[in-house]
Amino acid sequence: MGVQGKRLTIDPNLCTGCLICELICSFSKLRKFNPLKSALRIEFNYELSRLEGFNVCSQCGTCVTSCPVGAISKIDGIVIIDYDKCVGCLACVSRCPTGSIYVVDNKPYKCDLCGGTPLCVKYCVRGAINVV
Amino acid sequence: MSFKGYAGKILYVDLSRGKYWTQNIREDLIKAYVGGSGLAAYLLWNLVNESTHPLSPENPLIVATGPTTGTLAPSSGRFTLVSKSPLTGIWAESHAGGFLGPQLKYAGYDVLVITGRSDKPVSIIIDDDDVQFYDSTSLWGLNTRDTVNEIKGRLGKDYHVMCIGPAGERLVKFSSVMVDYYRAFGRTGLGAVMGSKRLKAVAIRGTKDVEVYDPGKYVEILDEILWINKEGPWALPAQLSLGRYGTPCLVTAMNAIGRLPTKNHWTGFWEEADKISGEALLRYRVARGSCFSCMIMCKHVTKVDSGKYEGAISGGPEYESVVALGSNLLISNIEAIIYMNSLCNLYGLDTISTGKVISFIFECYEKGLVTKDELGGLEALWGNEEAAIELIKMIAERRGIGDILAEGVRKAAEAIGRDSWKYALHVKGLEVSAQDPRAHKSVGCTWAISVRGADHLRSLTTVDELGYREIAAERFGADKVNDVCDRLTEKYKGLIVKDQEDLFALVDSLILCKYGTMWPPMYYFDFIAKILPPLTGIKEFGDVKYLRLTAERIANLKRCFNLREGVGRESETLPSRFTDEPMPTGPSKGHTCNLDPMLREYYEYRGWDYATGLPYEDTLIRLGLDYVAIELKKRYKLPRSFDG
Repeated sequence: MGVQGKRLTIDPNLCTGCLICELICSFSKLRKFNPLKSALRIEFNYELSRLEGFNVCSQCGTCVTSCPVGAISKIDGIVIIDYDKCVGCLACVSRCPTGSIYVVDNKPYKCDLCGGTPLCVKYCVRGAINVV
Repeated sequence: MSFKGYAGKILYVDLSRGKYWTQNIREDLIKAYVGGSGLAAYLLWNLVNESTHPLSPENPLIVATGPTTGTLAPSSGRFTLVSKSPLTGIWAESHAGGFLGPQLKYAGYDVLVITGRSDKPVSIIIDDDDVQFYDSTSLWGLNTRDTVNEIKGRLGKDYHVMCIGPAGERLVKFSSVMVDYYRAFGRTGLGAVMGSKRLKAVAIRGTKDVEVYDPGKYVEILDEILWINKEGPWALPAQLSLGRYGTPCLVTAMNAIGRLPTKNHWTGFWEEADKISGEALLRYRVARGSCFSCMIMCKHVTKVDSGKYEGAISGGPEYESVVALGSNLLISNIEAIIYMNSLCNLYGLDTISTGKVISFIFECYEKGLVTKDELGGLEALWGNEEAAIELIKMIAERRGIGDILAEGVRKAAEAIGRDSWKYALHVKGLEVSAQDPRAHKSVGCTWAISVRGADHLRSLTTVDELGYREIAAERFGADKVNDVCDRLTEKYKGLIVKDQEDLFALVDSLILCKYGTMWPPMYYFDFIAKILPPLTGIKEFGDVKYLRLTAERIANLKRCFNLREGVGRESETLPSRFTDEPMPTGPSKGHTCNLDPMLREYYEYRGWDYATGLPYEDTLIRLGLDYVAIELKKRYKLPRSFDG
C-alpha cells in the first residue's frame, strides 16, 4: 500500500486562523476562492484566537472499498479519486469515518496532498501545517 | 458583471420599511472608483447632501469590500464603513480587519447600504441571497462580546458578526462598531450611526465563489507575494516587529525619536515608556492571531491573570490604544491599560478618541478649568487609572461629565469654555491619533488635510520617518532624497503626503491593509497594477498612470464631499500645541510644526487653490468629476483655473 501515515497536521500553537490554507486549497483545485470549497477545514475560536480543530482526509483508505465503480485508489499512501470513473453516488462521503470528503458540484472532493507537495504547507508562513 | 474579483451587486437594506433589494454595479463605476471606499465615496456623494443629519434615517451606513476582498491578495481581509460622521459632520470612513468583510463578498455582495431607522432594536442577518431582520430587543444593552456570542449561539459559529455596544446605543459620538469580538471600526463614531438606526448587529454567512480572471497569472503573483512575506527583504523585519509584538512594537521606536504622545500630547518622550512597550505586553499574550488572508499576522490576544484586573481579556491593545490610554494619561500600569482597552471594546468605544477625551479633561482639571465636584468627585490627576476607568464608564453610560465628553473633545471644550479649547486636540472634530507633528513634520500635513479629521491612516508616510533613501529616490527623484528623508524638515512633505494620500485612496478601495503599504513599504502603485488586471480582467488597471489618476479622483471626491458640507481650507489647521508650543523634552526637543509651507505645497500638487481652499474646475474636469464640479459651482465653490 505504499508509504503509511502521510497526512496533514496543524499545530494549534502556531496557527493564527488566517485561513490562507483554505484559500490556496480552493484556488489551486478549483481556480476559485472559497474557503467552503477547501479540502482542509479550519475550526477556529475567534474569541480566544485559537485553533479548536481541523478536518482533513487522513488518507486512511476506508473509502477505497466503498466505491461501487472503483474510482478511488490508494497510491503511494495518498487516496485519490479518479473523476473519469466517479459517477457521483457519494457512497464514499457517507462511509468516511472522519467526514473529510466534501461535496463540491455534486462530486466527492478530498485532500490529495497536492500530489505530494501540499500548497497549504507551502503557503503557511508560520509553518503551522506539516505532513506527518 | 463581466469583471471578475467582484460579486457585482449592491445590497440595499431599508430598516424603516423592513425591505431589501439588490442592484447590479455599473461597470463604468468600477473602472472609475475600483471599489471599497472609492465606490462608497461615489455612493455617499449621491445619497446625502449638506442637509442630511448624520443621525437621521436618511444617512446611509455603507459597508464595502473591494476587488481583492476574499482572495489571497496580501492582507486583504479588511473592509470599510463609510457614512457621514456624527462626530465631525463630514466624511466618515473607518476600516476593520477580521473575517466579516470576505463573508459579504462570499454572500454575493460587494457593498451593503443600510438606510432608515427601525422601530425597535433589530439585527440584519445575511445568508447568501436570504436577508432577514431579527428582533434584537433582548440584545439591546449587551456588551459587544455577549452580543457576538449570543448571535453565534443562535445562528451558528460560521456566521461572522459586527455589532455595537452600549456606547453606540447611547449615541456616544465616538462609539465604535466591533467585528468578530476584537476588530474595530473605531474612528468617526460609526457606532452612533448604527445606534441611531436601532441596528444592533449585522451577521453574515457567505458560501459563493470569488472568481479570478486569469488564474494562471494570479498564481504567479501569489507565489511572488509568498516570497515577499517569507523571504523578501522586509519579511524578517516585519516578523520580528509586527509579527512578534503586534503594533505595540512601535512604542519603543516612537519614544526613541521623541514621537510618543505623552500627557495629552504635551511632549513626545516618556521615561516610563518601557513599562508599556511591546516587550512589556508580551507577558500577557495568550494567543497570536491574524486577520483573514494575512501573512503579517499582527493581531494578538492579551489577558490579565491575577490582581486587580484579573480576567481582563481582549484583542490588542494596539499601539494607538496603548498610547491613548497609557503614556497620554501617564498611566504606566500595563494591566490597567489592558483592562481599559477591553472595557472600551466591550462598550464599543474608539480607544483613540476615548483616551484623548480623558486626557483633555485631565488637563482641564490640572489647569483648574473643571472642579472635582463637576467631575462627580473624581481626582482627575495624571496617572490616576481609577479615574480614567471611571471616566470610560461615565462616557459609555453618558453619566455626569461623561455626557459632555461623549460628544467628543471639540464639543466638550465648547461646553467647558474658557481656555479649554487649547487642550482639545482635534482637527475637524476628530481627536488626534498617536503621532506628533513636531517630531515628524509630515504628520502635521497628514492631519490637517485628512478628510476624516486628525488621523494617520489617510496619508501617513514612513519614508521620511524612517529615512528609506532608496525608496525615496525611486518615488520622488534622487535630487529630493535628502529633504524627503528628513522627518524634521517641512520641505517636500506636501508632495509625499499627496502621493501617500493617493496611494491610500487606492489601497482603501482594493481593500488592502496599511501594513504592507504604509510599513513595510512593500506594495506601491506598480504592485497594484500588477495584481488587479489578472484578478479583475480590467486591463486599464494595469497602467500605473491610469491607477494614479483613479486614486486622485477618489481622493478629490472625498475632499469635495467635505467642501459641500462647508468644511474646507479654514479647518485645515493644527491644534496650537503642535504649532506654537515647542516640544519641551526628548529627542525632538525644541521643534514645532510649521504647517503653512507643507499645505501650500500640498495644494499645488493637488491642483487646488491655496488661498480659497477650493479645487480648480480644470482639476475636477481632468479627473472626470464633472458632476461634482456642477454641484460645487452651484454653491460658488469652484474657481475656474489658476489663470482664469
